[in-house]
Amino acid sequence: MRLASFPIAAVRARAVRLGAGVLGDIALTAVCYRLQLNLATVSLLFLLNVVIQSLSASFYSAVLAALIAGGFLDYFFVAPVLAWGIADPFDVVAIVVFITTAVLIARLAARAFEAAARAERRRQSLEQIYQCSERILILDPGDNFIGPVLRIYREIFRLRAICFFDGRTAEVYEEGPSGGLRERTRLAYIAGTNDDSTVTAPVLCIRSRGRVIAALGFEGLRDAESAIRAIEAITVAALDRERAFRSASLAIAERRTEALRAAVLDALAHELKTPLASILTAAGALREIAGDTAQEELSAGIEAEALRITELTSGLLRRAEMESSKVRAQMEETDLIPLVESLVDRFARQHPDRRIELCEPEQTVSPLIADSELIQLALGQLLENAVKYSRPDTMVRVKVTTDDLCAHVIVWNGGSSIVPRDRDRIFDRFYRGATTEKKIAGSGLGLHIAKKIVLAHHGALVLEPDSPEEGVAFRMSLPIPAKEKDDAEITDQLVGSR
Amino acid sequence: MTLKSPINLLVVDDEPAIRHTLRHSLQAIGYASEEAASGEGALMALTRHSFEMVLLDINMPGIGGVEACRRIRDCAPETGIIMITVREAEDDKVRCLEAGADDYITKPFRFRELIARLRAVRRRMRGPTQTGILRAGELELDIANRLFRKGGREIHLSRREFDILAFLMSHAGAPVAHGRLLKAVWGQEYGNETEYLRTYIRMLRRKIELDPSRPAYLLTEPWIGYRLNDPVVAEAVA
Repeated sequence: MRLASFPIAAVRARAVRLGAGVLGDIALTAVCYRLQLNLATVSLLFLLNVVIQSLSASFYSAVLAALIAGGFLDYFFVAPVLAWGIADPFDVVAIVVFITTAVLIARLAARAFEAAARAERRRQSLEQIYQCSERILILDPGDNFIGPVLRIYREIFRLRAICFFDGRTAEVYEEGPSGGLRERTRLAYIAGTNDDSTVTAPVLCIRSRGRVIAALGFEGLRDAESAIRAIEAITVAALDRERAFRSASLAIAERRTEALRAAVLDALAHELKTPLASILTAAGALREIAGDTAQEELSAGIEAEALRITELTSGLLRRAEMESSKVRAQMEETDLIPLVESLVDRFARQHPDRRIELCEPEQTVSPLIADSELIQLALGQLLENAVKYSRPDTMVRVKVTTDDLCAHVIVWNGGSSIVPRDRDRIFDRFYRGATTEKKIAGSGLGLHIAKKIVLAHHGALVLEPDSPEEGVAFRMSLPIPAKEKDDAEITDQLVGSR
Repeated sequence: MTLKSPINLLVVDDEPAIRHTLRHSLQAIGYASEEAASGEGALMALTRHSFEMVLLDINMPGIGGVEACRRIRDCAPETGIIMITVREAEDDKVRCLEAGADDYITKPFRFRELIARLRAVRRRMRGPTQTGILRAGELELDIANRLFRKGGREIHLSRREFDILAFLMSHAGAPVAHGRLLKAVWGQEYGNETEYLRTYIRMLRRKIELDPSRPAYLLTEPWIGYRLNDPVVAEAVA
C-alpha cells in the first residue's frame, strides 16, 4: 500500500524547486563574474534570487540557494578571488549579513505562505460547511429526508462513503461503496462514543438533549477536525427540524380527524332528532292504547329505548358543541344524590351483566349550584370509563360523600391500575393510554371534557392515588354553596350566571 | 282512556313528520286535531275554526312560536296553549309564559306527560268547580275566609304567603313566572324582586312541606318561576 501511494510526483517537484535555486545561483555567478560586477551589486542580485525562490518555492530551497550563493560570493567575488577564504574581515561581515538576511527573508516568506495556506484551507472548510447547511436547510423535511442529506455531505466533502445509523428506528442509510463502514457506524452508536481510530474515516455520535440518537460514519474525510464539529451541529439541527415537522403534521392530522369526526357526529345527531321524536311519541301513544299487559310492556320498552337514544344523540351534540367552544353552564339548584341515583340506575340497566353499586349515602348533601345535565355528562363519562376499562367480572362502585366545602362523588372500578406514566396525562385531549389504544375504541376526549365541565363548576376531577385494593378511582368534587349565604346572595348567583 | 267528546286541537310544527305522528297518536286516544306548519298558518286556521287547545312548537320559521302564541292569545283568549320547547332554552320558556302560554313541555317528552299537561290545561280552563275553595292534593285553600288547611289541619299563613299560595294553587300544575307572581301579589310596579319570592317560598315550604329541602307541592321551575304540583299531572307522568 505504501509503495503504491509513494508520492513520486511530489519528490520530483521538490527536486525541481531545489534545483531551480541552485541553477539561479550558478547563472548569476557566471554572468556577474563575466561582467566583473562589484560585491555590493552581486550580493544584491543573489539576494534577489533568494527572494524569488522564497516567493515561489519552499523554505529549504531558498535556504539552499542562500548558502550556495554565500559560497559563490566567497569564491568568486571576495578577495582572494577564485579561492576559498576571506582576506578582509569586513567582507566576512558582509557575507555573514548576506546569508543571515537571506535566511530571514526565506523564513518570513515561508511563514507568510504557511499562514496564507492555512487561511485558505480554513476558508475552504467554512465554504463547505456553509454550502452544506444551505442545501440541507432548503431540503423538504418530509419522508426520505436522510438520503439527500447524506448525498449532500458526500458531494461537498468529497467523501468516499458515508453511513448514517438512526438510533430511533435502527435503520441504516448509506451512500457510496459499502464496506466496514456500516458495521463501524453501528458499533460506535452502541458504544455511545466517537470512533477516532482512523483520522480520515471517523464515526461521529450525534447527540440530542444529552442522549445519543444516531451515528454518522465517514470514509475519505480530509481536514476533519474543524469540519466534524460543524457537521455534528448541522446534522442535529436537521434532525430536530425533521422531528418538529413530523410532530406538527401529526398534530394537524389528529386535529383534522377529530374535527371531521365531530362534524359527522353532529350531522348524524341532527338527522336523528326528528325520526327519534316521532318514534318516541308513537311508542308513547301505543302504550296508552295498549290492549293488554304484553302490548303495554313492549311499547313501554320501545319508548324507553327511544328516549335513551334521544338522550345519547343530544349528549353527542352537546359534546361536539363543547369541543368547539367554551362550556356554557346553566347553573341552577341541583340535588346531587337523586342525580347520581338516576344515573347509576340508568347505567345498571344499560349494563345488566355488570355489577354497578351505589353505596348508601352517609349524610345528606345540600343542594349544589350546578348544571345538572353537564354534571350528568361528566359523571356518565366516569361511569362509562369504569365499565369500559375494567374486566367484566369486576365491580363498579359509586360513593357520595360530603365535607364542609365540597360534595364528592367517587367512582371506583376494579382491575389494573393506571400506569404512572399515564397518570398525569389521562385528562389530556386525545390522550389514550398506550395499552388501551389498540384494544378499546375511544376518542380520548371523554375525560378531557369531563374535567372541563367540572372546572367550569369550580370543582375538581382527580385520579385518586392507588390504594391497597387493586383498582382505579376517580373523585369529582363540587363546591357546596355556604349555608350562611342569605337568599339574596344565592339568587344573585343564579341570576348573575344566567 | 278514550274521551267522550272529541276535542279540537291544533298541532303547529314545521316538521311534517312530527305533525303526522302527534296527530295520529292523539287521535288514538280521542283527540281530534288539525295541523298548521307555521305561526301564520295557525292564525289562519284560527280564523276558520275555533280550537280548544293549541300545541305550538317554539322553533318555527316566519313569525316563530312565541310571537304566534302572543297573537293567538290576543285573538282567541279562551284557547289553551301549550308550547313545545327545547331542553336548554330557559329564556324561551320565560318568553312563552310571558306571551300567554298556559304551559310548556320540553323535548324529548314522553307522550304520557303531554297528555297529562293537556288534561291539566283543560281542567284549569273549565275553572274551579267550587267557588272560593282551591284544592290540590292535601292542600285546601279557602279564599273568602282566608283559611288554609293541609290534611284537615289548619296552618296559619301570613298575608303575602296566603296570596302567593292562592295564586299558585289557582294555576295548579302550570308554571308561573316570577314576574307574573310578583305583579299579582305585590302590584304592577313589581317584577324583578325574585329574592322576595325566594324568601316567601322558603317560609311556605317550611310550613307546608314534609321535607322542605325536597318539596312535593311547591316546586321550583328553574329560571322560570314556581309551579304548584298538581297531583293529577304528577300521577299520570309517573
